[in-house]
Amino acid sequence: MQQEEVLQKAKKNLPDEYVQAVIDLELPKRIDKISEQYQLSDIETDILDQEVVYLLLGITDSPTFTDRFGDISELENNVLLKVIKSVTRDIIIPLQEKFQGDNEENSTTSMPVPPPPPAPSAGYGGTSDPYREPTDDR
Amino acid sequence: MGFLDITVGWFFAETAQIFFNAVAWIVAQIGYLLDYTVEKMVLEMAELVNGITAIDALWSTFRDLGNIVFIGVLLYIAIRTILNVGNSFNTKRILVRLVIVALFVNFSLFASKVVIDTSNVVALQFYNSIQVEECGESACNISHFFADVTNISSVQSPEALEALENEGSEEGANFKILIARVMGIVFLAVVGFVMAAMAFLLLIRFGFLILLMIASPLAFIAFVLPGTSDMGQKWLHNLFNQSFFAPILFAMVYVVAVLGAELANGLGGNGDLMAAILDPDGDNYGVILTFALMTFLMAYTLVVAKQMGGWVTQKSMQVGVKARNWTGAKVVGATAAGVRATAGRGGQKASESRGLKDAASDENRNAVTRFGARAALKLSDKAANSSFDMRNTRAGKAAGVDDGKQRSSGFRQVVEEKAEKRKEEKGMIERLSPEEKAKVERAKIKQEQADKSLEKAEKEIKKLEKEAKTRYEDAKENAQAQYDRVKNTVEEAQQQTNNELTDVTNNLKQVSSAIKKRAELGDKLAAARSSGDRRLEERIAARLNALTDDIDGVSNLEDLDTKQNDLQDRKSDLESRKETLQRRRNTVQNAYNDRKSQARNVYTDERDELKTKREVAKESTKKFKKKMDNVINVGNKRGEGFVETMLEQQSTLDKIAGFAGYKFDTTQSRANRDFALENIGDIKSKDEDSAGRTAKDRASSKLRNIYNT
Repeated sequence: MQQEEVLQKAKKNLPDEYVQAVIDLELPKRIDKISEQYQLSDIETDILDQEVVYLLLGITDSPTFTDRFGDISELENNVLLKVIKSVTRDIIIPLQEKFQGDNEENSTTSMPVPPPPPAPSAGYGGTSDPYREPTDDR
Repeated sequence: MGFLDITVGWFFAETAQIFFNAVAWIVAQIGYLLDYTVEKMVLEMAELVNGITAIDALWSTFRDLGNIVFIGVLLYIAIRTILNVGNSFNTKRILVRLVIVALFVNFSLFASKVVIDTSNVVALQFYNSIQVEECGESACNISHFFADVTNISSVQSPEALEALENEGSEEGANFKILIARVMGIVFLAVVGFVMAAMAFLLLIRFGFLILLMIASPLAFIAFVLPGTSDMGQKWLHNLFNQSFFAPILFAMVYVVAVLGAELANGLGGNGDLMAAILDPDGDNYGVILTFALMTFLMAYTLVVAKQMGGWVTQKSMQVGVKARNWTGAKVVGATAAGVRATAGRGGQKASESRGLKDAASDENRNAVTRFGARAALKLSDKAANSSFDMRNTRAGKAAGVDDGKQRSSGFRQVVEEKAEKRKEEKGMIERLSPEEKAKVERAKIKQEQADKSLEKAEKEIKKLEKEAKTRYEDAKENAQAQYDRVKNTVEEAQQQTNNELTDVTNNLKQVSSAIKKRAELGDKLAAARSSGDRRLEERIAARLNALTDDIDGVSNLEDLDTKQNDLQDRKSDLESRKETLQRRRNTVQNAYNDRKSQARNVYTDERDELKTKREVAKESTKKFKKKMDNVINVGNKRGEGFVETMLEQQSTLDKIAGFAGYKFDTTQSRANRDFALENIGDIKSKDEDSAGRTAKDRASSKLRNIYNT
């Protein structure tokens, strides 16, 4: 199986609304913007492009994305950290807002609501977000 | 001449009857023998064997004998090693086997009993399935099943004999009875032979298995000694072959039972065997054919059971060899790890011992002490570096415990690797800010909480599973109780109807006979009147009047016809009621089956749902823990600021997944993910393709286009 086929397959497995939300983001422009901001070389930009695609397709998670991008690009840790923060701020959070907005908008229509993911158990600090910091010192 | 024929015919018929009775008695005894054999030597074999103390005593004797043989073999190995005679590889191989067998020989009786008991339990399941429903006053046994399936009891049919006697010619009747008896003897002998063969084979099985149990220590020893492993294999082969003969036999009999019922219906073979012999017309051939077919099938089950027993043995032994290799590899691996941690650790300490090093280099000590200290240091150094993994040796390979997963490094190397890892981790953690260290600690606490939460969820799921099972058992019991109640009522009604039907049929026969005789006597009376024989006329008139004496509710000859009509009507009603009751019984049975299956389906659904919940909880916890591990590891590697950034990023991605109603990591199969990760590593390659594009260009182009296709 070719790499492109794998990516296409990954894309097919994602909900259409999500794919549309990603398309609407105009990803290349955002990547180029981050690249300009931190003066990344062409090769570093391509690597970032590639790793962001993998992250958004769910092929990698955040730590894997960070580690792989850091290893392949060989950026200094301080620059790497800033780039990772920018990816969150300029790509992932807008995607969340966009998707959340679309989701709320469509919630009044007849679009079938997909089933929620398995809720994390109470042991995850009693919140629905396992990464949220606990409010008290447990 | 006619008188002579009748007398000779009567003589042969009566002689045949005597032989027939004798053969029937013998077949009955064979049936009892078969029942006893099955009950005592298969179904209750465990109790019987436990009661025979001689088995344990003899087994102990053989085991002790085996232990003496072990000592002899050990001495043999020792002498070979000391004298350096023969192939050292073979010696090591025998030693490994000797140690294993010396340990397991003590469980040889237990192991044999496990195989035998397992086969008997399986046999019991099939035996319970082949029971017949009604066997008169005695308990239902396999001989009843034989009688039922071959319909052999109908070879002696009073109804058929009565019909023959009423037929007319005594001379012809005697001849037919003679034929029926001879054929009956043949049929009985065939059935008796099959039952006897079955009883004999089961009897042989019992005796053979007892001998195999007693000889089990010797068989184990035979596996070790050179040139005797064939005997051990033969013992194992016989153990499996004999043990599984019984369950396979009963399984085959069960198949014949199910098949036979259908065949009998199809061929019309449910009638009287004797009636079929007496009157072999087209309709009755089905009865004889069914008998022949069923007898053949029953006999053939014996042949198939013997053959399949051999097949099961072969397969079981193949599985056993695979299991032995796997288990051996794991046991040896675990042992090696244990020895590394003990002997290896001891060796490491000894090799670093200041006292030994001083003793080895101290010129003031005598030569023997210095030599001893040097030897001890050398040995301990070897122990510290050795993996102790027998799978690396030729003997280990010979013993079949090489699974390709053996360690080559010794205790010293393991200690060094661990120290290096700890040092690395410590260095990384020191690069984190105090806040991030706190976050890492919290992440670890969250992981522990996730485990506890999973444990709690599993407990809850177990409780729910138990409740579901209890509900299922209750539903089954309720269905059974209700079924039993209704079934009993229907059966009582059926019994009552059958009794009444028998009475009515008998009455009807009596009335019909009276009507027939009335006609005959009427003719005779008319003849007597015309001849003017007054005395004969009076006698016949008296016989005519006596015809109604034994018939209830009939006072004169004219009422006989009315009575016959009434009885026929009543008989039709009762037959119709009988059919209705049978239908009712079938309905009740079907309803019961439906309820049971419904309860089972509900239970299965509930159980599956809970199983899915458990898997989801496990998977969710596992993924969460893995992500946290990744965050911690990458955070440690990269330094300050990364942990927080990754936590925030992953949290946002998970929120998106939550909105979209999917999980990122469930969209990809592991194989695809691994493939994709492998392929993006070449992005920095400078190799160009024919169009002058690098791998990076090609990858970038594909990635950039991914959302546009």
